[in-house]
Amino acid sequence: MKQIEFNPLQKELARSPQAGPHPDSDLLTAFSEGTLLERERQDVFAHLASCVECRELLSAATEAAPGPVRVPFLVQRSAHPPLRAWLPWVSVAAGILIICSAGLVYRQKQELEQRATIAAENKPGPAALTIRQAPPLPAAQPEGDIGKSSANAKPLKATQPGSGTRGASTAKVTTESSIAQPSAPTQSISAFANSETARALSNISGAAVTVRPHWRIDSAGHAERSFGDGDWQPVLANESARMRVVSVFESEVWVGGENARLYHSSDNGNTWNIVPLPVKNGDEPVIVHIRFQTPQAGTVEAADGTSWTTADGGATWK
Amino acid sequence: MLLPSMQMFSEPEPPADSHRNPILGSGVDRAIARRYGESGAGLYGVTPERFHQIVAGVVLRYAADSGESERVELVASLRIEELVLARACAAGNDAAWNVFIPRFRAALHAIACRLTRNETAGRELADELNAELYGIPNSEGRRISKLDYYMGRGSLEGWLRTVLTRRHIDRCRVHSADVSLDEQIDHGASFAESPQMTSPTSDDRVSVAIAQTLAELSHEERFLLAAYYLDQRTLADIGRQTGVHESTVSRKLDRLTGMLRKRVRRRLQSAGVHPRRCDELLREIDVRDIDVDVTANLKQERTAGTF
Repeated sequence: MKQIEFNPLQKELARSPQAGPHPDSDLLTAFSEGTLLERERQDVFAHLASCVECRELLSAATEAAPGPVRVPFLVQRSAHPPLRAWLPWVSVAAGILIICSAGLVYRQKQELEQRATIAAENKPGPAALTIRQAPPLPAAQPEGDIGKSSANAKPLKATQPGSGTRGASTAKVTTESSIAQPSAPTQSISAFANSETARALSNISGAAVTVRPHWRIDSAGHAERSFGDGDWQPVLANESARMRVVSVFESEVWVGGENARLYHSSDNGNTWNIVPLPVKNGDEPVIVHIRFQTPQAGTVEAADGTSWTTADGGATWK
Repeated sequence: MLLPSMQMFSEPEPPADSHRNPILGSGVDRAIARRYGESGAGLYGVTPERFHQIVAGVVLRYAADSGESERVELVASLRIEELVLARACAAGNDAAWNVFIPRFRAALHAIACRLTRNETAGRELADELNAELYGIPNSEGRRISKLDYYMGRGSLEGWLRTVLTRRHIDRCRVHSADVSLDEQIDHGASFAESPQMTSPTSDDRVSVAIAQTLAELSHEERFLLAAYYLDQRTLADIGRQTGVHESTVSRKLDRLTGMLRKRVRRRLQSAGVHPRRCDELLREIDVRDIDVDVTANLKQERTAGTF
């Protein structure tokens, strides 16, 4: 094994002169929680890069953060009987839970089948789903934006004046039944590839929210949704960019992919908004991670390391 | 892994609350006033004037030399409800303590147990901090609470965790200093020779090239390298510390080490090193192949007075 003292890189790293005084507990906490101002964040990075004590403190403090499983155990261990005494009750509770779950799944499946049958019986013409887009934008646009957006013109995107954002700000994509809204300009599009399923889903619009959908990205880069019956339906079918990641927080669904495309749905994927991200590196990076700690606070990361954060559910990003 | 350093962490002095509100600028005053409603200050009898003093103290501490826009941004980023709760507790408000205890006491105990990996030691550590949070009378008989130090920059639970961790590390270091050399050797501690003495000075130009290249990196990049190669933290650890996904850390490190090698190689070549010799040298110091005993090196670095 190679010895540390023989490695010039580590020697040079350890030789860095310490930058500034130690940050206090408030700054270190805010640093790990991502709530520092950018200037302060850089100052803390500068100090941490050269101070092994503070790196050690930060590491130990983040390791001690309560995990999802360990905290209750540690808290309750002294106040309650040993775990063994609970085991019979745990088994009974687990049994009841399994029976209830099975019943619930069976009932939901029956409901879905019933609604699909009703939809088949009604059988009107092919279901034309409509996409409602934001009203046309003002003709006058900054020249730079016109060039960029027209070159990347996509059916679901609209451009909005204002530099620093990519594409449209709120081009609303609505997956709904064939009755078009007269007040808004509409564009016919099949958001779901299978029109029968689309119709069934549109008929059960209320139930679609209660049945928690499953999500995945298929090999072609399309976001797909399923309601547990094994039938995967593509959403955002007109989006040509390959999607790379889908993130779900309760009914909030985020889908991201190539060309910095980011879509958001707050109703389990029934309606979608294109979310513009501020341009950071001048190009259009590929979104590979979306993480939301709460429905409001989250981070989007691109493959090149660029990241955007929001604290207001995606209304603003920085 | 705790390093036996003599350097102890200490909290800075809390800001002395002035009796009249400091002048921060009208925009900052408005920003502070806007946050009064959401702070819950009224629940603990904190008046708007007192609230202004508390927040102004934080602004002056962290943004004394900053412009108005940054101060406003700072005010907006504060954990204002928890800041007011902490200061109300420090002032001895019973209603505040009735909120604080059920919300944080169990969490504090759990964190202490996790840090010490021992229920008894954890309870002792948590109780010690609890006493300080409640307040210890000073020489004038006035009760000084540790919660006066909380500035609302991060979450209150996160701050308590960091304070507890600091205390735990300090205790470990004191204990480590108390352990005799014989005991340390009995426990398997070994003392390597100084790297300066044993390093084979294969080519000083390598060290120079690396030092120059490291100097060009950003603080964040240097932190990543130090955390990963010196401290041997995992990608997940670094991700947790910096608030990004571990795969992002991995990509950044890959890019960083690739760039580092390229620049060191270019520097070596411009210093007259033959390309084949460059390859040999870079193989010797391959930054992607560092699997070594870092503790020994850091001990040596510290005794050498590097920091």
